This record gives sequence, structure tokens and C-alpha cells, in this order.
Amino acid sequence: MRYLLRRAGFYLIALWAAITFNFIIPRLMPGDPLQNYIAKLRNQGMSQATIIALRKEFGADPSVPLWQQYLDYLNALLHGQFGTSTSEYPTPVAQILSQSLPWTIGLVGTAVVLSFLIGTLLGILFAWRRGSWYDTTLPPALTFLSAVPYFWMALALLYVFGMMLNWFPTSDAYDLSNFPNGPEWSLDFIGSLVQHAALPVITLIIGTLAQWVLTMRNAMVTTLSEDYLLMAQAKGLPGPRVVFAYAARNAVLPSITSFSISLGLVVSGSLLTEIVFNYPGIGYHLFRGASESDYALIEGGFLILALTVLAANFLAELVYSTLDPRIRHGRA
Amino acid sequence: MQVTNLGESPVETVALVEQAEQRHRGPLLNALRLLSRNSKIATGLVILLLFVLMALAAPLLTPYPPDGPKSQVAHGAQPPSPEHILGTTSLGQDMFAQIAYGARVSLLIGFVAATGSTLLQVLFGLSSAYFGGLIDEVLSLLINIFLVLPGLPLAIVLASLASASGTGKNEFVIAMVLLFTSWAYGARVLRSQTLSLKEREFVTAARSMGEFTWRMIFSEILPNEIALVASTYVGTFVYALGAEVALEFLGLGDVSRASWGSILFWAQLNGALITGQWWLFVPAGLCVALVCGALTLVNFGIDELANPSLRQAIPRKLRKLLKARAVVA
Amino acid sequence: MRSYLASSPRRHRFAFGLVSLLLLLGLVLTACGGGGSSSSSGPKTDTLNVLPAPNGPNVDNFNPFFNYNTPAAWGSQGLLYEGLYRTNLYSGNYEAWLATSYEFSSDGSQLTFHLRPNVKWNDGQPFTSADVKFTFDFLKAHPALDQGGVLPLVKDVSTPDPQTVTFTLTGPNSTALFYIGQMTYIVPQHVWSSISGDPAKFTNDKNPVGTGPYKLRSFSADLIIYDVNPSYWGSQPAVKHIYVYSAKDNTTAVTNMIQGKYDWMGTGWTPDFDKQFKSKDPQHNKTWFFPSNTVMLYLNLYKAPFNSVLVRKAISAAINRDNLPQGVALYAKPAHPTGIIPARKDWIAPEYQNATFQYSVSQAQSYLKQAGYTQHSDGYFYDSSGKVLGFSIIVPSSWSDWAQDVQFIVNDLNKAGIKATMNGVADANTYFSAIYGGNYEAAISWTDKGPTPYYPYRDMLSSSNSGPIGKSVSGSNFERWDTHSAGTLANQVDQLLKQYMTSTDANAQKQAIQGIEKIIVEQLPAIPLTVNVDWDEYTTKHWTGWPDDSNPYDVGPPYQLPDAANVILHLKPAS
Repeated sequence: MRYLLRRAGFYLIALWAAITFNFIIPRLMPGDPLQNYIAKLRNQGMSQATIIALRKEFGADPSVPLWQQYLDYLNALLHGQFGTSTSEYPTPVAQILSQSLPWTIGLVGTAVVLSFLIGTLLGILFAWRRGSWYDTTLPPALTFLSAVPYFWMALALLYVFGMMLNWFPTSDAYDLSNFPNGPEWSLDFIGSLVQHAALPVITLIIGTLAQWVLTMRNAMVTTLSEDYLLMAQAKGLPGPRVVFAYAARNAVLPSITSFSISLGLVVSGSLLTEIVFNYPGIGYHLFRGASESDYALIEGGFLILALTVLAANFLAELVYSTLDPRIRHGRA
Repeated sequence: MQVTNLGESPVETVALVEQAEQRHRGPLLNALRLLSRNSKIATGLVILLLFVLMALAAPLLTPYPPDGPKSQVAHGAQPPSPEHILGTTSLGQDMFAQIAYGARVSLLIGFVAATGSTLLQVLFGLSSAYFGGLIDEVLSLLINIFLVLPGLPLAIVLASLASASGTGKNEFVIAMVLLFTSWAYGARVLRSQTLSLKEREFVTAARSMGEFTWRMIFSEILPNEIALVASTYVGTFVYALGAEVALEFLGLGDVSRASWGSILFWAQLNGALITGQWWLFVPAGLCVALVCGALTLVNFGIDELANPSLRQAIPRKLRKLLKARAVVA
Repeated sequence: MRSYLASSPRRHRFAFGLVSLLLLLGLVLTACGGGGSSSSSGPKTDTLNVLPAPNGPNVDNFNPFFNYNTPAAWGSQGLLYEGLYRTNLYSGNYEAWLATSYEFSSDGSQLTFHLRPNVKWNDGQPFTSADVKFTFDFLKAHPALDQGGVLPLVKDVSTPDPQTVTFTLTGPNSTALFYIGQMTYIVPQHVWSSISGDPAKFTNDKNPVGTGPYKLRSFSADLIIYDVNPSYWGSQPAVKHIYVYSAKDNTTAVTNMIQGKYDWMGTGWTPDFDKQFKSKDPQHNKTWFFPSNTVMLYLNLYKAPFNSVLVRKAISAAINRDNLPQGVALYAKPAHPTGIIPARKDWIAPEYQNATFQYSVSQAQSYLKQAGYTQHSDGYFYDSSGKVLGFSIIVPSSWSDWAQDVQFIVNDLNKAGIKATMNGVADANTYFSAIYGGNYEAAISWTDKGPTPYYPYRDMLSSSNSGPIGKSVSGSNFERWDTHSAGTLANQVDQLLKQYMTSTDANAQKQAIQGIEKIIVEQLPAIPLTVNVDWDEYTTKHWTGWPDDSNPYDVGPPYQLPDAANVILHLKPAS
């Protein structure tokens, strides 16, 4: 319990750090989002009064002291206000993010779970059949694939399977013209959903698989040579049972601890994947915010992602502590 | 805070420590001999060297300049031909010149970011572990915070804000952004490695002989972590190169200068996927993949050197037992 | 040993995981198999699928005081809300809209509209002159809403009767018809008088009440749906539903267009796309790229050497404009020396009707010698103090057609002995703040659109749009043409602009425009380069009646509202 409290404390500090970064960094940089907004109104001659009124609107008032801005910022965040998007004015950033977050979580979640399961199973297999042809060829091949930049792999898959072969859709999260009223609970819709998510998820899996395979394989190799496993074998327990019930259970712990790093990678990868596949998640909006200097949107997007990653990490630690009793008792 | 040490598997740590101890007497000499003997490292380094040579010798390899008004040598995007072996870009520039000169920018950013990041890793990881106490608490908190914050989104935030703020220095900015977002993982690995080395006999011996702190860190502890540092360096390089290309692909770099990322940015912008102009996006992507692959290969080699057990087949004793089981079943 | 025994059920869990994994994979595979079939289930017969422009997610803002570029949702201007008098951007003609006729007072300082009878808001309430007056009073109370700059024109609004509105202008002003009639969308008093909160943040996305031919059904960032307004005052449109999509970039948009997801879109095009689009179905897949405004090379007149007209003439003569339309900028034909687009050629003075730019390096060099420059052995021209004649041209690198143009221009200028360089900036904001703030040497940029050449000329040359360096310019007066940089010539232009504005007589207006043409041709305040085309790609597979060269009843691009609404009303289902 003391351990969990300590961890919760850590995540709170990390959250505060993310928020403070978010506040400080944009203010250290020059550049003026309002200028960009005015430029967008290029087709009309806008009066000076309008510009002054708009400047007030965006809260870009240099006369307010920085600490006051910081307190206002924290207060606004506490009330779930992330400011107003300038690129999609006057939509609140919170609204944009809350609409796109589920898609990102769905995409990343599916990819992480599938990649973890497939990778761990392969890792077990490779460790069990160490020295076989697939153990010597596949892990390096997978590692090579994971070294290929995500978005380029996404581009290549999109080009071959989406455009040349026409097997997969090239944009959106589901078929908009068939489901104009939005998501619904029907088999058709789920089919459309899976069809649209397939290529992005496959990209993410290919990119992250190697890590799970290698971590699991290396841990399994060590675990399999432990005496108690030899003992288990000697006592006549069936092979698969030794592998899954005894060896894998212990060997999977390092995989779970590397979850936090992997999650960051998958989230990063998913941003690019979303951009390439036009998937309506956070990455898509973050990209747009970046290209339009929409500070509020960029900051909010980053904060939400950081928050999600922190929460997922905390969950992973909870799982870890139930799997590994040593942790709970304060001795790792 | 023990939990935070669990990043790498205990197996690796033990093996690395053993390895390090064996090589304590002449680490550099030994390392070189080992490197040349390991085929994976050798292959990886050769590929990498070829790319570095291509970048350095770009003006000798192609008569065409990469940018500027003289770079327009054809009308729009032309497929590969004897004159332009990789075709031309949408602006009529020679693609091979783009790739060769672009390698300079891309590799340099990767190099600067990875080197700077490794220095930070060593500094933070070693001092955190060595000093312990409050310094360790604060530093590992910082390390862990950076570790859990998603790197690329942070890099996008930083790069976009920086690129909105001025022109001309984008490559430097991107290198800094990548440096800033990539040091935490290595620092954590080094910290836990140092923690275990700290208690080793040769360190305690040196300490009792009255060596100064920094001297101890650099002359006693660091040489024993060379393999680990090398491996995180290579890993950081891979990350930095990939992330740099990604940021440039998003248009957050200086897209008016030839680099592998900006080549891909232009390919995407001009709809190369639609028109099937594969030569606009395949070569640059392949180059990144090859360099990253070569670096990964090097890392594989380092892993093998540092952790021989991964190479070997399953222990004979166990396999015999298992075979016997299988027959019975 | 205890924990091992306790863990044995876990094996089943593993098996369960494996089974569900296989299920998922199976699902993915079946989905792949079904991929081909679902993409063929195309648009429905009474639905129009539009991608206005690849500008990113749809914006949740149906406030008609904001236009599509602001950005606001596409369609609130024109589909939901209407103005009093429409300007056809193709012909420049004024067409009746919510008003059936208008008249100016004899001195041009009063503008009276006679409203269309029997128009109802889509909630059943009648539309009256009170709504018009309310709209303008509302603007006055909330100046942030006046994005079209209409307020300075209007002194007072009166409503003699429910069908008549009279605007008292701040002075004689014939352009008030455009600003009041086209740029201001009328909102219902009975709804807008009771909205709470800041009207600049009123997104109006819950059953917006307008007079237009369509009603809003639903909004999402990916898809806006409009349904036809059954009580529309005009004839019932054939298009019953409009699906408005969004796309983040050209590649996505063009891919979707090729795959048949859209009937109509307005996306930057290159000839390479024709192979994938037009050649695949030449009978249905069409494009119509119509010159809409002029691309200029702006020279910062506040900076030497651009204050010398000879230098400006030399730069202009050194550019080979015939070379510009190629590659990604194929549709950008060379501009007319007056900067007037082909559709407005009636406004061009007789002596300029057949004028074209003459590319001549020797002419350029003789201008430079006249200006006191000497050519050194390195080929570049130097002034008397020994300073090389050189400057940089700013352009956002990602705007590939203009970036290509600038590369060609730099090449040409170097050939003529002018040391020009390209300053490609990664970020469009850097470019915007440079050209609006005056912190640049030369820039490639646009002129504005309008029903007559007056509107682009006014935006580009009115000295009230200019200001000292550091102050943001208005309109497109990026060159900062004013009395400081152009002396009495600026007064002359202001006078001519005023002559156009205060007159309702067509001849007097033409005279004014032609006076400005002369100054543009002789003084080159900015150097016309090429025309800019509007992007209009469509398929006649499901809908016919699109404007094109044979039937140019309006401009074609979907992003050009309210003209796009006019196009939609013209569509008929393909038989």
C-alpha cells in the first residue's frame, strides 16, 4: 500500500511537470497565433476595432503578469478548460480532444494488446525452440522492421494495399457515407471499423512486435535454465505446462516493466500512423495544430496524451504489483 | 525507488557486469578486437560507413546541386533514367543529389542528437547512482518523468513552436529537441548499472585508496559500462534519426533544404502516392531503413558480445530432458 | 510450491487469450476480404458528397458572421443563411437574393433594398426588414463579428415598412451593394436577440434558423449533413442531402476523389493527377480551373532599391513568365500587365487590351544602367557605392507551385545580373508575419478576388491599408503603397479609388479603374506574375449541371461561398 501511494505520488508530480512544461514552453517562444488568424481573413478588409476585439478574445494580453497567467491556466485546467482552438475557432480544445481521444485510445489499445500478445507468444516460442531456423532469422528480421520509420512503413502499406490493390480504405475510422449518423452498434459498423483500423494497427504491430519478442525471448531463455524448471521437467510435467504456467509467468515480468517505454513509443507511432491514414485521432489534430500554430490545441493534445500515458503506466504498475508479490512487500 | 531499476532484465545486467569485469584491464583494445570479430557489428558498421562516405563525397558523386536555383535540371518529376539514376523530384531536382546531400543533414542531426543525448545520459545516470541520497532522488525523479512523458508528441510541440519562432536554424533546433526528448531511457539504464557496479570490489578498493569522486566515475566505473553506453548510443541514434525524419516529414524542419525527411515531405505534398511516382518516396525511406537497420545490427552484435548466453542454444542438459519428455508424451 | 499450484488455472486464461486473438485476426481477415465490396457502395441518388477544400477537420461553427476561411463550417453562409443581394463572382453581376431590387439615392449615399415577399425562416416565422435592421445593429454592438469590414460604411439603418430597408451610408458609396448585399448574412431577430454569452463564440450548431435552401441535420469533425429546407422560398433543389467531408491534405482529398467518394471538391491539382482521375472515366470525371485572381511579386517599397521604378521595371522585364506554368504550377498562365483576370477584361483600357509582358534581359539591363547600376565582371549589377543589387524572395516552402515559380524567377533574375535568392520558410506563419509586418524584401503573394477590378485594386493600393514597417497592413497592400513610398502617385490612386466608390455611373467607374491600370503598368507597385486558378474537380456520375467553359453561369469551386450554393441549386440528377 505504501508502495502504491508512493507511485501515485510520482505520477502526480509527473503530471504537474507535464502541465508546467506545457505552460512555460509556448511562452518562451516568439510567434503570434493571432497574426495567423488575421491572415486567414485575408479576403476581407478587417477594421482595427475588430482586431483589438479579437485579441481580447484570445487572451493574448501581454499586460497580465506571468504568475497570474499560470494560476489562471491551472484553474482553467482544473475546470476542464483547455482554451479555445484558433485553427478551429471557436471550438473549445476540450471538445476537439474529447471527440478524437477515443479513436486514438482504440487504435493504440488494440495495437498494444495485439502486439503484446503476439510478441510474447512468439518470444516464448523462439525461446523454447532456441537455435531453430525461425529463432535465428525472425527476431533480427522483426528488429529490422521496427527500425524502419513508422510513417514510411505506413506510407508503403497505404500505397500497396490501399491504393494499388484497393484492399483497405485509405482514410477515416469508418465508412462515413454508409454511417452518416455516426457510430452505432451493428455488425456492419464493427466490420467497417475493423476494416478501417486494420492497416494502421498492422503498421503499429509490425513496428513494435520486435521489442516484445526480444524481451520475452531473452527472459524466457534465462528462466528456462533455472533449476526449478529442470526440476519441474524431471518430475514429469508436460512441456507446454512448464512453458506457460511456470516459465512464462515469471519471464513475462520484464515485458510488463518495459510497458511504459513501449507505450510511449506506440503513442508516438500512432500519431504518425493517424496522420498517414487520416485516422481522426489526437495525432491528426496535433498535426493540424502544429501546422497552424494553434498553441491551445497543441498544448491540450500533448497534455491529454501525457495524461493517458501516465494513467496507462499506473495501471501497468498495478498489474505488475499483483503479478510480482515481491513488489508489494517493498523488496524488488 | 527500487522499482525504477527494473527497466532492463536482470539477466542482461549480470552478464554485462561479468563481461565488463573480464575486460577491465584493457577495455578499448579488447573492444576493438571483439568488434572486428563479430560479423553483425562489422556488417552494420560497413553499411553505416558507406552512407557516411556518400554524405561526405556527395559533390564527387553527383554533378547536380541539391537546392538553389541551379538545382532545377528537369521538368517536374521524371522516372529514373541513365542521366538521373533515381529520377527527379516534382521541382525537377536530381533525386540522387537530394539523397546524397540529404544524408549530410540527416546523419548530422542524428549524430549530434545521439552524442549530446549520450553525454546527458552518462552525466545524469552516473551521478544519480554514484552520489545517491537527495541528488539521486531528484535526478531519478527527473529521469522518470521524462521517461513516461510521450517523446514524439513532446518533440512535435517543441519543434512546431520553435519553427514558428524563426528561420534558418531548424536543423539545430531539431537536434536539440531530439536530444531533449531522448536521454531519459539511457540515463535510467546507466543509473541502475552504476548502482550495481558501485558495490563491486574494484570500486570500493579504489574508493578506499582515496581516489576523487569524478576520477572514480570516469576511470573506474565508466570504462566498465562501455558496452552499455555503446548500445544506448546506437539505440538513441536510431531513435533520433527516425524521429528527425518524422518531424521533417510533418513539415516541422527546414523543408527547403534537402534531407531524407524533407524528401518524404515533398513526396507526400505532391501526391507521389497517388501518381505512383515511387522514386519520390522509396529511396529516402530505404536509406533511413538501411541506416537504422545497420545500427540495429550493431546493437545486436553488442548484445551478443555483452551477453554470450543469448547466442548459445538451449542448455544441453535441459534439451535432453525435454526431448525425453516429448517422447514419453 | 504453493504459488505454482495456485497458478495452474492461468493456463486456461492463456488459452482464452489465444482464442480471442485468433478471433480478432479472423475478423481482420474477413474485413479485408470485404474491402472491395463496401467501397463500391457509393453515394446515394439524392445526396451530394462535397469536400470543399482539404483544410482539416470540419469546424463546429455555424455562425454566419464567420466565413469558411475564418475558418467556420462550410455552408452556414449560403446554404443556411442568405444575404440581400448576391454577387456572381464569375460575371461580376449582381443577382437578386433576399431582396428583389435595390436603388441608390441620386448622390449615392443611401441604399434601399426591397425585400422578397413571402420569405420564411426555416422555423416558420416570416422574414422582414426588422431582421435586416437587427443584423446590422447586432454587428454594431459586437464589432468582433464584423469580419467583412462593413460597419465603417453604414451610418444608419431604417425600415420604412416590413419589405423595405434603407441604409444611410457614411458617404456616397457604390461598393456598399457588395459589402452590405453579399458580405453580410441576415440572421433572425427572434432567435439571435436572445442568445446568451459572447456572440463571437456562438457556434449556432443546434438547429440554426436561416432562410437558406438547406437545414443543418448534424455536425461532426468528419461529416456535416445538410437536408433540404422544404419551405425554401425558391424552387426546390434536386439535391436533397449534402454530405460535407473533411480531409487534412491534398493527397487524401485526391485519393478519395479518385475512389469516387466525392462528387465535388476544390483541391490543388497537378497534371499528374489527370492520369488517375480524368483518364479513368473521361466521360464523367472533370476539372474546371478558372483564373480567379492574380499572383504578384511584391517588392517592399519602403526599402531601397525597390523605391526606384527603374529597378522594378528591370525586375519585371527579367522574368520569363512563359516559363512559369509548368510542373506543379501548370495552370498558372502569365498575368496581364494590368493584373486584371481574363473574366474582367472589359475593364481593361483599349490601349492595354493586347498588352503582354515582354521578356528581355537587355531591356532589363538597360533599365538598370539608367538607374545608375554598373555590371561587374561577376555578372551582377552594383550601385555607385559598390553594393550588389540583390534581395531575397520569401515564400512558404510547402506551397510547392509558388516555390517552383520563385525558383524560376530567381534563375531569371540571376541571368540578368540581379542577385536574387529564394527565402523558403518552413512555416507559413513566418511568411504571413513577414509580409503583413513589412519585414521582407520581396515576396510572392496573391491579390484579392472581387466582382470588379476595383476590389483587388483597393485592397492592394489603398494607402489606408498601408502603414509604417512593423504595423500590420490590411487587404493585400503588402508592398506598402502610400504617400511615404509613392508620393503623389498614392494620392492619385486614392483619388481614383474614391472616384469609383462614390460614383454609381458605370463610365465614371471604368475611367477610374483605367486610371489605376495606367499607374500599375507604368509604375509597377507590384509585379504581376501569373493568374491564380480556382480549384474545381467534379464528376457527372451522379449530378449534372456544373458550371464549365460551355456554361459558365458562376465560378465552380466548392469553397467559394455563396457561389457554391448557387451551383448546388443548379444541379440535376444524372439520368
